[in-house]
Amino acid sequence: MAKIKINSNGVKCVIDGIYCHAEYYVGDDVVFKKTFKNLTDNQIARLSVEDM
Amino acid sequence: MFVHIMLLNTMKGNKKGRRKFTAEIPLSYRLLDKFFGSHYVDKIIKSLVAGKVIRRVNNKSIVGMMSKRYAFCEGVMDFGVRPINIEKYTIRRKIGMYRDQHLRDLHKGNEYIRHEFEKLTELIFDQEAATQYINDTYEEGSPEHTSRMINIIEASKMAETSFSDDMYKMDWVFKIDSGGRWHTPVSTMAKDLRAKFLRTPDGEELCEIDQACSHPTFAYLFQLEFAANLRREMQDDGTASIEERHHIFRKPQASIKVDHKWKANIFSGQIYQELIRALKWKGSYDEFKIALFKNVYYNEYRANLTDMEVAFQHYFPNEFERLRHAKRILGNKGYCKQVTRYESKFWHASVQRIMRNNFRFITYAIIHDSILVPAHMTEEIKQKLEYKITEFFGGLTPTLRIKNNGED
Repeated sequence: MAKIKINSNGVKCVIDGIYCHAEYYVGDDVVFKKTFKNLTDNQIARLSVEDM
Repeated sequence: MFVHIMLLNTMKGNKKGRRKFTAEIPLSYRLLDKFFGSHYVDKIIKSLVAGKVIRRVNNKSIVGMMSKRYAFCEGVMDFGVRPINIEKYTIRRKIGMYRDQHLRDLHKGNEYIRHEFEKLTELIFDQEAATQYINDTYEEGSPEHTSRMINIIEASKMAETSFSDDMYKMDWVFKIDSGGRWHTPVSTMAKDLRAKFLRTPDGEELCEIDQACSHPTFAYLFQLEFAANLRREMQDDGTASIEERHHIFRKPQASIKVDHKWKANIFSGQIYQELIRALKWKGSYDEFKIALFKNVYYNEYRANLTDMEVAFQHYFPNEFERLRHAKRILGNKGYCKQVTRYESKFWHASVQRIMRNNFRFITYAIIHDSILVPAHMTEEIKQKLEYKITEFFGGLTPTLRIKNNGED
């Protein structure tokens, strides 16, 4: 079962197996989305708008 | 945080030549109470002992030794602590309940935050209809399907939140990030679900009051204050030492002049349309907004400007200078955090006060730069928000729009 994590930078990650679908709401209905593969917990915790 | 890292590094002995921490330590109940909650301290210690992570070293009572003393079991510090996925529901629920310590700290003495949190948990979500809709609309296994399915499970748990023994009992994601934004199942919910399946406890539909061009508006205010503050700091009144002067003059400065066209357009909510016209953009409105944020606001800081940056600089030189200046000093991440701080200062701190003081019994939810309110109250709440936001922006009124059923 996939799970949701939200880190302190406000990046929401849906972790589905080895994939991590990251989303960041910038404002004005604009959402940056990117899918990462094989991220560790530490890397997820550090994701920010710079990575999107 | 720094002390914790130092302490952990010392205990793990991960630097060359440093010995590992092997001493016995008395566990302070006051500290453990604070971190784990009094309901769980004994259970946690017992399970750590049972799991051979720590061992008690003073089983026999010794005169003069008041507290129980523990030490790490051999080998524990070699492999460290490994994260595992916990499948058992009851344990996951307990872990979820630990979060209430954070909530209690958060709520302590702040009735406005508590009010927003409680109003959020009043919202009703129709899980059955939403599941049907998601299965009909999205392909199973796609990221859109997965993300929405998790979201509706979380959202339906919000109504089960209870408060007893001075604790919130909840099993859903709740987080306030470093920029002050609230992340809840409602704020992370896709727009189509939010409009169709969220209701007040009376079954009334919700309308959204949204701030047009919110990002450029908050960014404008932040950048202007940031540049002005830095200038004030850098003013040399003749008392600065040589080192201080050297430091002062090395810092870059930004203009505090205002581009009046930019200001007029962001506050009237027309800036994206104006830019699309000026830049002769061929794509859609939404594509333009993404391109603007990716190429001007959150692109990597480089000496060579992107095409969009060149155009932006041509039309709005002062605004562009302040944006580059802030990005150069803070970096994209820091800049983004500061802008969201301004956003949450208004959309949480100020709006919480308006709602608590004027609309105490009205259910609402704040979604970053907008608010969901019952349809019949929309106009009245919008008027109050307009008054407050004008105060926030020092006499300028950004445009607030009413959106029905998630329309754009």
